[in-house]
Amino acid sequence: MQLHKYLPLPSDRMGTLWALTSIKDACIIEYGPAGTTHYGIEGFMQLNAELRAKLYTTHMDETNIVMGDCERLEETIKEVDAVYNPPVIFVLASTISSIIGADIENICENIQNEVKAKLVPFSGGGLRGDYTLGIKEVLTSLAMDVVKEPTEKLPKTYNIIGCNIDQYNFASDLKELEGLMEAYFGYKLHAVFSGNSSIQEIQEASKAEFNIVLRGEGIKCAEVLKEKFQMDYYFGAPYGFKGTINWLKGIEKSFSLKGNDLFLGRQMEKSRRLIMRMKQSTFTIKQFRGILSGNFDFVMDIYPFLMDELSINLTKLIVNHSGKDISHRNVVETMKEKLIFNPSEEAKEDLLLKEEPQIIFGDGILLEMGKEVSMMIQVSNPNLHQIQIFEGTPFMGFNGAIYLIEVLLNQISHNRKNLKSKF
Amino acid sequence: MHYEYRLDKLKKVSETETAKDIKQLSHAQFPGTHCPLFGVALTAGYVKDLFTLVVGTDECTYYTKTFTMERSNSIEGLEDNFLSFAINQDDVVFGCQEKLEKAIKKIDQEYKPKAILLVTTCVLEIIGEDFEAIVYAIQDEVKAKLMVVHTEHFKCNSHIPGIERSLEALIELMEEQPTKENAINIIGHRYDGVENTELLKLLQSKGIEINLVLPSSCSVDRIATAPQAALNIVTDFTAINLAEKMKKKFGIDYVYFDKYLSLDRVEKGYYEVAEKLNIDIKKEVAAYRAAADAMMETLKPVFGGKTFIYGNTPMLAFEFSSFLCEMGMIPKLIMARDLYINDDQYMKEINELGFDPYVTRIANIAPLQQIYGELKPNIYVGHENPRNLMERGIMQVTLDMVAKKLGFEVPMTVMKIISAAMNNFESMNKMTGKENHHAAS
Repeated sequence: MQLHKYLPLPSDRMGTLWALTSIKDACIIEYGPAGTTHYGIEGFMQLNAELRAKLYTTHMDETNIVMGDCERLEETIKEVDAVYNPPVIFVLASTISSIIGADIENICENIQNEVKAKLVPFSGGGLRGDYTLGIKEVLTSLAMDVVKEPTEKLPKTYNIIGCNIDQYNFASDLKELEGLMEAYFGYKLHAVFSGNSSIQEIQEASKAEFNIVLRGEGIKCAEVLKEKFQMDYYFGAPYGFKGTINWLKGIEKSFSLKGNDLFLGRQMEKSRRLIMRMKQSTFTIKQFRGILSGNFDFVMDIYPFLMDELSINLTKLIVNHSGKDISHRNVVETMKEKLIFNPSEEAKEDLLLKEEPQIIFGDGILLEMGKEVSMMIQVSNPNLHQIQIFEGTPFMGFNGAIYLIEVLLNQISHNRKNLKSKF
Repeated sequence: MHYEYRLDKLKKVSETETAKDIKQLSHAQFPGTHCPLFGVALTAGYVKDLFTLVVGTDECTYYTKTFTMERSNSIEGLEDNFLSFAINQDDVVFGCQEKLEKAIKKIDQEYKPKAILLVTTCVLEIIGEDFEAIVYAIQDEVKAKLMVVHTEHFKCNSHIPGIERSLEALIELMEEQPTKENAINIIGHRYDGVENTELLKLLQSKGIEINLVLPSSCSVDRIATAPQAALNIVTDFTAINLAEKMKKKFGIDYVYFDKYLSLDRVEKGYYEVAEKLNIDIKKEVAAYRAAADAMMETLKPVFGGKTFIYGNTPMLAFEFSSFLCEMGMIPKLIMARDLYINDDQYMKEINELGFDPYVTRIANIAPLQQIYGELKPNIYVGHENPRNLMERGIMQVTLDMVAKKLGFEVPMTVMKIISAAMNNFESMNKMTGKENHHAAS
């Protein structure tokens, strides 16, 4: 059923726009009715993100639709090129322009010689897939069309691929990763694809030593950079104490680095204390059951922390998009049974009734549906009401694990009366 | 190559005869106008027991829903009864009539709404999905009254048609009623607390009863009783079409009494209402007018000579600008959505006061950065990036809160806000050591 009481699944076009608009100095032109762009701009607030790019609409009238007249788009491209002199202009089709058959790629090709900026078309009009496809296409295109040959190599630097504004905690997580890499390896972050980044940083991404890919949508981007600039990459995101240690060790091994054991020792010591405290707090709780929702890689990566380290029995794992593009990871049998891809609203409501979770780690909609559940932590988008300003509340890394334990302990403390004892 | 946004591309007020004369300063628009679907989202949510089904792309339905959820969360008593039917590629190729009929029946059974507003969007209009035929086919099978609003953005320049059409659709819920002589409807008012406005406080003190406020305080059942009213007072131009239809269908007369700034127009509106309702309000109106006149005279020397750009307010662009001209201010550029009822008259007033500013299309702040230097405005009325204005020494005034007012309180609140903003701006300049009232350079 395509009927929704809450929100439909965001489209590929929405993902494209989300991935591009967080890049400072990126120039984006949308070929479609102005209302589409205006709505999109207001949508960034819901993601707790800033519009860092320069985003324009051409608007469209009946002449453009009936006669297929694309002069409006050509004039807009030439104008933006002349006024802002950007290195790249991203030209996006709207659903309407793609339905009427406006060939964005051909238009860009035809006028490429008349403008200084490199024109990068995105012809997906929002009916080909969900937002993850749009994000994947942008990341890949940045590697293919924007990153330049390196003029020099910058030692002890790396790029992050796949930190994007659709991820609920992207700003805090990015800061945590920077801190981790600095503290353990003494490495500095060079460019981010594409959250809170800039066109210049992305253009110069090839100067870094290697890439870290946080989500599957970024693998093709990393492959392109590997082929074009011989940059190796490491795939994975650090959640929980063990997960973070494994992640650091994985990077250490992949790139033959030597990390700071003293730093790691201190973190391990801290983790033992906090895990013990968490276990003491949940020891008396009967069947501490929970449901988790979010992007596929997020769910896969944070699951071992919540399930194994914190002993929360996550009975269902809801992935907020389709399961078409998950071949980059092996899913173990025990998780396969729990994973549900893009369930309907009715299915989610049934699930909440059937599973009787004591805690939801979810998106804003799941939290709204599960209002009766006493403990809820928002960990993913869509976001309805939560405002995120402070960039010191990560989910990733050692600090992410500590922060989540703190939030959990507080939730348990406030809801102790509602939790059944196993004794 | 240096590219210049040229003001001479624009027409001036004296040259603006049709909406086509309102030109864009640039091809690239930011942020661009809202679409009629947004107009529906602003309007239909107020009607209790009405469910709205938006049929469109993931994008159109997603953003409309996030807007209505957020809005219902922040406005007391406002329910979020918006549902979405998100179309897919197959629907574009093969149509979605059968699926839509199923969805409507499901809504009817599951939510039991008294009425459902079916809202089409751009893609549905392009593929030619016939919503009227859907209503015709299944109206007898569902209990809810079905209505249709079309919101394609490629045929218009703003969200206004969405508001107009949502209001017009409500006539289908109205039923013949015996007239209550002392009852009025307020139509077009989209804010709470209409009973606290100057206009309504005065009318109620004279024994006039508010039958209905459309859309901000009504329900499907209450709308059926709208024709009880002896008079409709139209407080926003978006409801004029509904008022005309109600006049034709139910014989209800109306007075158009918008959020006027001109004291003469406000006074005329009051007397027109009084005449139609056969009440005497001369004494009260004279007192209101005297207070407003006095404020105008006091502030004219303060406002006089200041240049301004009109960006946007909840009031009428040309009527508002005409009032500021009357206060001695100098208009440099007026941004307008379209040409609406009586705009020719307001534009004539601006010209007769000796001014002939440029006119450009609203919701495109991108090219303004270049032309501030040429226009050198002291004041920008409306929403713009405050930092851009501050850097150029331009004072910003936003007047959203005036939208809730009706009567002489509209111009008086506007004068108070501008005056307070001037004082603030002056104090800020003193604190930062900037020269007072310097224009953009």
